[in-house]
Amino acid sequence: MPPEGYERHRAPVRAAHTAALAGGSEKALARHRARGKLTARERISHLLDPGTPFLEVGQLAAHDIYEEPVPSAGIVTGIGMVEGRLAMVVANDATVKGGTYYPLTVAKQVRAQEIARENGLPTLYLVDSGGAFLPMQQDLFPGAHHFGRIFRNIAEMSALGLPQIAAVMGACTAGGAYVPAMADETVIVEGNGTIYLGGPQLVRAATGEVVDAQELGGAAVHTGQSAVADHLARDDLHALSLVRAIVARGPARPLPPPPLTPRAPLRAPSEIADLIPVDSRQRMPARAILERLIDAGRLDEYRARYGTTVICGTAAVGGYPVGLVMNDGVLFSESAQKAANFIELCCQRNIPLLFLHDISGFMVGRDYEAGGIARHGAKMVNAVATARVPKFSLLIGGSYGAGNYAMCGRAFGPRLMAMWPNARTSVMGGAQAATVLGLVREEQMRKAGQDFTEADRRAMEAPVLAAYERESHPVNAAARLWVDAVVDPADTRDWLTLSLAMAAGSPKEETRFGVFRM
Amino acid sequence: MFRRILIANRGEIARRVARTCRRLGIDYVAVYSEADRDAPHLDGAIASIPIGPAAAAQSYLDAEKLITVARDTGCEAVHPGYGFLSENAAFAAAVEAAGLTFIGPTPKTIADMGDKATAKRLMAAAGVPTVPGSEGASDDPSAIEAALAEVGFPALLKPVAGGGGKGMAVIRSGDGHAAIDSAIRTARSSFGDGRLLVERYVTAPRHVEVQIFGDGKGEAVHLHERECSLQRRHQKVVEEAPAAFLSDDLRARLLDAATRGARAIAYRNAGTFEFIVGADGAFFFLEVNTRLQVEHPVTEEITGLDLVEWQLRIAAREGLPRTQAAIHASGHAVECRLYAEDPAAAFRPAPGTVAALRWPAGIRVESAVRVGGSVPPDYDPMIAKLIVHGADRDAALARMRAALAETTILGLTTNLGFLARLLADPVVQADGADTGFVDEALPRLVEMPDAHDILAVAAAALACPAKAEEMASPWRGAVLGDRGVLDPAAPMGRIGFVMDGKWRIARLRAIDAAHAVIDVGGEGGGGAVRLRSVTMHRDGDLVRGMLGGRPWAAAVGADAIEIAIAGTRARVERTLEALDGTAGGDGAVASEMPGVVVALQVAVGDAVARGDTLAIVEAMKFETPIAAPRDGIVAAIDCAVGTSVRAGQILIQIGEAGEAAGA
Repeated sequence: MPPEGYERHRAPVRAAHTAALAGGSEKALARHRARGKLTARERISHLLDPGTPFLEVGQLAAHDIYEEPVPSAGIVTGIGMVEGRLAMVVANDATVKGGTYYPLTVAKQVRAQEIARENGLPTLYLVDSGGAFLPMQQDLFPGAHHFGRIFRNIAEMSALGLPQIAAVMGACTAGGAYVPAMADETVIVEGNGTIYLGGPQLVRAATGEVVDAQELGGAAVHTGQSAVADHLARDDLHALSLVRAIVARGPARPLPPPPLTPRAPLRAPSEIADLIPVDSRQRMPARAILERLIDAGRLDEYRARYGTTVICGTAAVGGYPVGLVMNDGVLFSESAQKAANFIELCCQRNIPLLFLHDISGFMVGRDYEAGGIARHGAKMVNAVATARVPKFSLLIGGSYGAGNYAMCGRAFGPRLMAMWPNARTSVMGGAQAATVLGLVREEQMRKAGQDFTEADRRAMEAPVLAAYERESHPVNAAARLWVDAVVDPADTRDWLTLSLAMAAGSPKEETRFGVFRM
Repeated sequence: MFRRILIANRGEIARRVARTCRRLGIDYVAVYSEADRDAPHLDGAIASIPIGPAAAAQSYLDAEKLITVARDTGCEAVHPGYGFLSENAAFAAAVEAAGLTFIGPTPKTIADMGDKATAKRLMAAAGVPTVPGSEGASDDPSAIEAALAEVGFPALLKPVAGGGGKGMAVIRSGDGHAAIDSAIRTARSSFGDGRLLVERYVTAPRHVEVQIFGDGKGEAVHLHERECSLQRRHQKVVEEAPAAFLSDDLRARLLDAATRGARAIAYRNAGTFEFIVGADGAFFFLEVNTRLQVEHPVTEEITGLDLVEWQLRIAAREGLPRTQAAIHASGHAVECRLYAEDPAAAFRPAPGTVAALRWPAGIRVESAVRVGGSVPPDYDPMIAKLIVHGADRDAALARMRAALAETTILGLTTNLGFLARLLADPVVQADGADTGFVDEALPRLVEMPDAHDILAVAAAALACPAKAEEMASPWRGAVLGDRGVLDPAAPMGRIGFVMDGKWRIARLRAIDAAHAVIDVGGEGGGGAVRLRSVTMHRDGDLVRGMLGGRPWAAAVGADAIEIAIAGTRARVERTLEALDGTAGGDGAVASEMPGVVVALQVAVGDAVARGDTLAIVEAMKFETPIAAPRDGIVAAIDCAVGTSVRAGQILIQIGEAGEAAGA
């Protein structure tokens, strides 16, 4: 029996999570363990302080994207505590295609670095990778956000005073060799760790020199002769303990406690799923959701009686204040102006912003165009783009078209962005797209003097609907890194609390708005 | 009363004597060896005088030095404590010859009682029962048989040339000639001398001793008896007062015998008459200890008297502070001796440094150590004595069990766990232990720590959340995010510890503020789940809790975690030792500097230890020693004094120990 109610949304997400967490094949895993190595996730489990949280980023990356499965894009990334310091961890999974970099592997590591930079986190690289996946080199090597960006980021973050620490726990070949070489401080594991620009085969091909991997770039060479690595570890656990010690010697940024006493929401977050309408065309009960998301259900609302299709107000999650911008209908000029004003206020008061998307877009029609909705919408987009307080985006329903921009979609730099299993995102809704395409086709046919039957329309619309459903789905969005995570409504408060607590420790930035069309 | 005395001792007894001095307004001078520079027994002294190196023979046993200190610091008397010079007649005589008062018996009493034969003769003459035995040794079976008839059965045949119980034979009535012949043969073959002594053999012996004080003029009183049957290898570990198993009649006879003995020799000051009491109620004199005993506090607890004060008053010629009629005993007291020793390794002394110390509240503790201080290897490794008093024996034992459970010592291997098990033993609780009990029951009294328990406790100590702060960042653990799915076998994380040089992994299944569930099974990747449920809480700089009904405590250090589980110590390292660059490599030793070899301190074939200087190179006006990178044998020398060397030039080759050099 197919799942009912919200389980319908959860099932495919759960299946994708399970596939991602499984990592590489049994055979690859057995080979990995035979070398005395821990898995990427076990390494992180050892690295993090016991009993503290982990906020994984991009778990579903590359899900169902390539011809072969590449779980989590072959790299595990996330935020956790190491020796009392919040850090970004980037761990290659060598059981997945030898830990080679697919285009999305690169994108994911770059994204992890971006989060680390924006939030002022040290980055810890647990390296175990064969380097670039050569068959796809053109999609991962030359571009502005391709492989080179990883190294540029290491250098730039180091320059910002954010520690960059690497542990070489397996191969670290070619371009990958620059991760330990660029890092501030590097550990290498005796026996398993190797670093070289060219592997033994390449060396033989290039110069005829016959040399084995350990002689070429083993731990003894790099800690004793080349100084590419600084610390010699006997095994994985030893390496991780050395990384912990390096972190402990580094700067400790205060981890601010919540400024307000954390309060439970008015009602249980587990009830949210049942509030979500089965028919996505029905309105989401915005205020009922808020009661279950924010501390004590308390919202200090801004202009409650004006521009009511967007709810703005100050609330707290886990004791951390947040400026909420939440859709409750389509965006009108009034709503957009109100939201722009509210964002200005939050920037002035240094309150992080949380955008809760359920938006089909800005209102369309002759009166609205004439009323300057594009101008008013632009104000909101402008404010969102330039606001320099920490911004977080959560897609709780649809997130379509310019509404996505105004609500701080991916392009607008939210510190973290997540999506509920029921949420969808695309340039417009599937049905609208199908209708629009149908109308265009009908007009073309008519001009050509041909009939356009109802059957033609259905045949025309069905593949469009199917494609939109697939492409706008949260699993696809997460696989392509449009969002950092797919989060269940019941877990959303925890996700938000950790996100806000992380941002609370990051350096304050001044906002400077651009020109608003008044 | 004296105005100032010298306390010629260290450790808890020096502190004990000092306490009474302070109470009575007597100044005291403390002495210390180099090992005791910061020892607590120096606290409160009017002067603390160094008396030499750690070795006792050159410090606490140096009579001349001590007497000089006493005179130089204006002391009127010397308290010797116990051990060291306390029963040294020559010292007592020297103290008195120097015009000082020796706080203890006369030199003659010390000498007489120190000689077993003399002591036995004097006591027998005073009518104190002594162990019946033959006058002389013989290897004539019929002479032995005659002696046996006189001594009575069961009897012990002791080879005159033997020692330590070797070759001894117990003879029961009706054993006949064969047993005697066999004992003679054994003695002859073992010691080349078949002569045997005959002595009454006391079955199920209990050690009872009577505390007496004499005024030195023939008057003496007793302060009741103590029982010290809980001994391991003749070392008392638990002492009680009174000896609850005695009948009133037997007790009266024992006390009377001791007092009579003390009067007979005009005993002066504190003494202890030790007796052995057989299962049949027969008792025999063993010896007199002419000092204040380690276990004197149990007597103080039941009589309410200060025995050190008594010693001082008698020495100050104030006479006996009380008459016998005014000395009463009530309730029951127990003392446990806490030692830095390893019960699992034949009670080998285990000196070390105290990392953490928590004494139980509300009981008497006579301690010799403090946190950060050490138990030096040079002296008796006693850490402290715990003393409790209760309405009766059961109450006192219960109190002591609780006190032991509340005691925490980290950083030292101690007998705390052994004591706890001993006091919990049914035989001890039923007051049925004789002097052989501890050695017989040892296997069940000594706990070998379970590696899984240690791992669980180490993990709980490390993972114990900081004191619940409502307003802490959720990153401290209030929220878990994706931690659970990161590692489902260890949803709260994994911790690796090094035990015996190998990694052991604790998988944290659940943690809350006061409780953790930890999987300590599954070596490597697989293996069976083995769960341990541990409670924990922070207590200052310690973490403590319960595991399987037993208390544990731990101190988390940067490199290691010191643990005690029910008093048994363990230590786990938090990581492997760093591999340093000089770990030895291929044994080739190079000069780091260009220069000239100015000294060569080894020859081919020499055994060297890591760090030994092999040669000296002079460069840039400095002499640089060339050290051995590892243990081994000098296999080759590729330089000579005067050789100019380049940087990196190999000077010496170190081979494996065992490799024949040059062969």
